[in-house]
Amino acid sequence: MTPAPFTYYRPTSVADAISLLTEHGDEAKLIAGGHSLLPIMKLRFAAPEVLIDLGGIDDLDHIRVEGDEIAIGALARHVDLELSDLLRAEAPLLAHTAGVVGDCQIRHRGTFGGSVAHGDPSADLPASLMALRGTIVVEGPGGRRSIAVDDFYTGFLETALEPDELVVELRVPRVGDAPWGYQKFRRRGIDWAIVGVAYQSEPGAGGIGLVNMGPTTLRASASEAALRSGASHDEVAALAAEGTSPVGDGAGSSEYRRHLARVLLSRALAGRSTT
Amino acid sequence: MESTTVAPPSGVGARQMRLEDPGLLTGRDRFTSDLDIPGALHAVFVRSPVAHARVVSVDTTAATAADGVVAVLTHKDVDVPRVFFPTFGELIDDAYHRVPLASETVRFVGDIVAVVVAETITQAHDAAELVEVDYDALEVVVDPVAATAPDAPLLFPGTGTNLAVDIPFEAGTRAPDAPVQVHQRVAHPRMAVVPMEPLAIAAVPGDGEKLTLWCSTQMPHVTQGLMALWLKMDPADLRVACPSVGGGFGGKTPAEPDYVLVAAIARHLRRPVRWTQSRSENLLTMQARGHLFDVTLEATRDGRVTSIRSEGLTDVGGYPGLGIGMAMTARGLMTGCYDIPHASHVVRCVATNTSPTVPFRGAGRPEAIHALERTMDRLAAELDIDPAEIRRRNFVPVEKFPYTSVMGTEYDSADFEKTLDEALRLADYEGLRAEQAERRASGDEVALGIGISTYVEVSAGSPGMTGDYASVEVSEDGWATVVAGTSAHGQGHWTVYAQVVSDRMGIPAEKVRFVQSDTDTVPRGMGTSGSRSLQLGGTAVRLAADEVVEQAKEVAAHLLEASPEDIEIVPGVGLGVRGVPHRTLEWGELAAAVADDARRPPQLAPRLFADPGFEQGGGTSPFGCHIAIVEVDLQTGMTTLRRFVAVDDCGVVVNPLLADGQVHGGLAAGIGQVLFEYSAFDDEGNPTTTSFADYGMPSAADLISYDTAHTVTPTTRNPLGAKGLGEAGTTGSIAAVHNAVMDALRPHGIDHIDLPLTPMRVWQALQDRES
Amino acid sequence: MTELAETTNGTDTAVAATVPLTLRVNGKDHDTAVEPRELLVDVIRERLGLTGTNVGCETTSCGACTVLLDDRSVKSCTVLAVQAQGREITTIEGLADGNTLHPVQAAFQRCHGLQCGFCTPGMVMASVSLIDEGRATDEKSVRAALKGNLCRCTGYHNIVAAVLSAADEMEADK
Repeated sequence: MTPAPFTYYRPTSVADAISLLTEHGDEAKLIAGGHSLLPIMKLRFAAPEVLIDLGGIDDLDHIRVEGDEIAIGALARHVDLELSDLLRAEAPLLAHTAGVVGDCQIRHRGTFGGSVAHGDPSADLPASLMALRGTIVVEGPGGRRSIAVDDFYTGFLETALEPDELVVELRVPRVGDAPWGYQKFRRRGIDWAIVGVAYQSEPGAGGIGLVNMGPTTLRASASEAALRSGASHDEVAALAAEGTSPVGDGAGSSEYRRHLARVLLSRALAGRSTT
Repeated sequence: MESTTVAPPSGVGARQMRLEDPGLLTGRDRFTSDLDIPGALHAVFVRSPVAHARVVSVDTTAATAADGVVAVLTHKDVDVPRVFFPTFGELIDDAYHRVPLASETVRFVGDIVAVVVAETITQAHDAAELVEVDYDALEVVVDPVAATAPDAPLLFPGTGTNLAVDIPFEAGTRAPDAPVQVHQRVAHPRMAVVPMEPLAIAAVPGDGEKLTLWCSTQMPHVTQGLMALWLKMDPADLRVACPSVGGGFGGKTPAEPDYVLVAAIARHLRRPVRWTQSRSENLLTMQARGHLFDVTLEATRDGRVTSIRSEGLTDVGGYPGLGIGMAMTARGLMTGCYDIPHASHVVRCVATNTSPTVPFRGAGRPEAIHALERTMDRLAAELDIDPAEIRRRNFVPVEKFPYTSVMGTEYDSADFEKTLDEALRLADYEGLRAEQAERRASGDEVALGIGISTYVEVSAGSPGMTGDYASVEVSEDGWATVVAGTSAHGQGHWTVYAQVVSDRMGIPAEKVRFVQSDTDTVPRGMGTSGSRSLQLGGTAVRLAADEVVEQAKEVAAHLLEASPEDIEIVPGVGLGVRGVPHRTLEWGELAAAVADDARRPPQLAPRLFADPGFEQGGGTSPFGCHIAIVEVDLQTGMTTLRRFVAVDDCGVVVNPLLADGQVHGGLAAGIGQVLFEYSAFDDEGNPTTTSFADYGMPSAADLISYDTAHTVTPTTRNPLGAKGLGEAGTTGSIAAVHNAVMDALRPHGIDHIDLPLTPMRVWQALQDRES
Repeated sequence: MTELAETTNGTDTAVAATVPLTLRVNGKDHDTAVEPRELLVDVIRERLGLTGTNVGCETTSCGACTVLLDDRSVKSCTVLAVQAQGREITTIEGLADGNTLHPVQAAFQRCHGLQCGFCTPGMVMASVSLIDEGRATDEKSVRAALKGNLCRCTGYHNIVAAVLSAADEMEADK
């Protein structure tokens, strides 16, 4: 079904995109790969008056080393992350996670920045960004600022982005071959995760991100604290659902989701990943 | 010299590649929505968002004024006929009819209350959002058991009940005081048919009363007859024609209420009108299954079943109709492969405020076999007899065929032990049981389950549909043309019929043209459903081919000055004189000769043409054994299919490549129903599975490659020796997978979980046992 | 910055403004005019008359509408036509070389990887792309890479076989 009508802009620079955002404010939606927005526009659940297509900006899809970090342009597509030799070597959790998003066609269109900015708690990539303690670089009329991933998600489909800001880059530390695991539990290959767990080990510690365990992407703080105190993996996994508030729906009751979080964390800690 | 006894490579039994494929693979072939229909308007249906209500008012003012809108129609504007299937006229109250454009009452979410017709599809969608309907809510009943309660809200108050059908049946003699009795309630939930091409139609009025319906259907001639009846038209004025049809699986057998509506509107507006069903409409309104079975088996201590008593409660949705047929078919197969001396069964069909149901792959067969085979496993467990062994002890013995079961169902031929043994061998059943014992002993967190299902069904046995039409004609270019009354939509009839022609006439399959699915060019036909086409259509082709060969022999004998008895087929060439290698006539020459008054033998017509048709008089009984091997993650409840062995017997296989394809598709549907797929409604009758995000249609990533094999027990009901195969995969696989998961969980104290076996349901059952 | 079109929001005043658009499809430029809200699949089918690409759902799930955009498979129901400007689009009609089928098309026929044929164009385009990306290494990878394409007829068995067969053949021909 065709979306409701809108005014379409195709800026060719970030600066132009920001001035359009400033001009149109809440009436405007950004579109990059379009795989979060177009599906709901087709069903007319969303009908923005103005659509600002970032597809005309051609210098925002980099994946490169910058000091101790990997810098990834917001318009890098999931497939670019998935198949990046650099990312596979320096932050393999993120490359793997990009490869379990949606299907090939979706990964050919969807962008890392779009997935992060959408703020959907059932998305995979934000959980791995959480496990990696990444930062989100945003740009607005006043220039750029960096937001830690822990400060970025403020509510269901809500982020710390101002209406006139857009995500321009994602940064994660270079972790090399340190152990990691990504568990995405779903009935069918194309389903969103019923629950997902991202784990990235750190010296004497570890980062753990949770998918679909509350209104936002969550950090498993109790488990992380247990890891730092030297607890066994079983003890760490047992705390996976502490402080979470998963919803119950047809795919899983909240009790089932809490149970899954514990089981999946145990598997992720063992370095096991789902494909 | 080439031997005449060697079949050409494209004959019966060859793995002939499909003649259909090049057009489909290149995007050249067209489906209904691809057709260029000049001046066609686009229809969009406004459907009820509430499950049961009185329609107070429909305000079409804003929609009518919207850009591009030609008409916004309600029941007050257009004369829409009531839709009622004559087949069920004897079974149910006349009051249960449906008018495709609802007037006073809506009975399910999706009932149509208005139709917007506009110049473009987007304009029609835009305007449909502006139609305002005022509903006065009525009490809703969704649960089929609740719908049978004396105080349940009634869908058709005039009938005094929601039970549209309530038919008891009993036959045979029940042995008194059976030492063993097991009972199992088996839910067989709703699912969606999901042809990848949804419904689509273009209704094009012609001169006078003439109307052409381009549409996606499995049964063009049946559609023509029913539509003409309902629209009060002369069938001669109504042409029904299908371009490529993107799958049917039973969901495109009815003359859709939607099609009736579009046809009526096109006649009303006197302009071409087209409509393509959206996927959400398809998942909502093309649903099937929906039964609740109670099965009681009585047996001796050594596992001989002496009686089956069963009841089926079938939820046929808001308008009882085709769904009733599935319940009746299921009854006939309730004794399955087993020689049981006594049976009783009650068919009950109940109206609820949910989508009306339609047939789906198997259409009653998988339902019965699933209920029976689940209960057989319960009996095996009760008696501590191996599931394979208990089946073997109860099989109808080979010497009893043809066999009429206590249900009154005739099985023409079968050898159940043969398929069981072959499946056990291919699966390495003993090895699997040993692995299972080992893993159970070691406390493996992933439980291995092995599930067996043995099945028999009846193909091409629907009353009034046990024969079909085909013609064969050879033209002067040496090609044969087959015209068939069956109507393929993925099965590959062109290819297999061409193989039959090749086999009987020596004309290569590549030189066979094919005509089907158009009431203007095919004199008659019953379409394709119920695994009927190869055995009926294929046989009709064979009989026609044989007659044409006889005609051609007379021509050849006449021209070659030989006796017709001495004329033989020279494959790839034409006809020749036996023992005289170079005295041959090509098929094209024969066709030219017969058209030539000077050269035609006087007793022949001027065409090499025959269309004797074929009437089988009854059905045939395909059968088989399926074994599923699953692994159940006891921590998460997730079931993973490890292996699937299917041994099917459909008599003579004309094309092994295509036969396996039929089995594969059938298996996927059965496996899908057990592990992923179900159509659901909430307590208010709101559907919750109307997109592929919610409805669990599996992809390649969720399924495996299957191990398929065939045994061959030919039928004598047709000269091909062939039985149906389209529904076998589904009929056998549901119980196999269900039994496998239950087999994995049995040591954990779980006897039965109803479908679908989602991870949460399995996990919950394990939790419930622990606490 | 380019404002390509301004149309009025709201379904009651849909006086749709169209904008000129050049789409490069199967190596040929097509000049057309579209509303910005029009989906690529609709433009391909209705304005360019290339009906081999099918629509099988509304939720970016079934993959029947898969085409190649700069050689990568995408679902053309979830791309605005205006987003495809300046890109190379390949549809099923552009795959065969005259009467010679593309190796993936040939493998689908050889392995009986299609029945009704409705999902087939999308399935074939997705397969071309996944082979090109080196994903046809084994059965499991092919299955994972095809999960965005639904089929009701084949149970996927022969589709997976066809993709592996085509990949082998294309590798051998390199």
